[in-house]
Amino acid sequence: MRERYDLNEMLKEIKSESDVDLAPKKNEKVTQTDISKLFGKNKLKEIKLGKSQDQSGEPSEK
Amino acid sequence: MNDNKKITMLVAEDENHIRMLLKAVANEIDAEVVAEAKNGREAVDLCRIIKPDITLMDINMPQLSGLEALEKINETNPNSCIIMLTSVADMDSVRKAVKFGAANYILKNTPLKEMQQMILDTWVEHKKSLEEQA
Repeated sequence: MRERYDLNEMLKEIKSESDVDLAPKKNEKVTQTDISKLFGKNKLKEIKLGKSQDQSGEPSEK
Repeated sequence: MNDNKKITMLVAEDENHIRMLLKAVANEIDAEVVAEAKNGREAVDLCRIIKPDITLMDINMPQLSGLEALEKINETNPNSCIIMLTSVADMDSVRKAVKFGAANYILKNTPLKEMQQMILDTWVEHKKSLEEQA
């Protein structure tokens, strides 16, 4: 016979035993200043790479 | 572009009153709105046909979102100067805009004078980078 699990209890245990944040990542809100900084950094990267576009598919704020 | 010519602009925005406002903004910076799109699909088609100097692109639009339209336009014309102009203020959308090659991303709550200056600055910078590539 299959053992039944209480998923909520399991989740509680996982949370209590680890530091892992299991909550869905909230989409971070940004201001115009944040956006301008991000675009500014990306432009700098383009200049360094000599490209018109970041081909990696990732913005350069990493 | 010849410096004596007006900057040509496509406005992609589904809200009529915001399109009107953006036309006034364009007028203030001596740009001419040569076409208007009410959804992302129209924006893609008009960009291909008209090849405006600047496209002001909203994000939340029917048929095709502004981000999807941006991606499609830059696939065929990576030298387009597309400025996202939106009230969507989340990092995921900004990252997508950078990834798909937007020239800038301006929030709609930006004061109009500041918005005009940002559009002009973006255009000058874009033109300079195109000239450097040539």
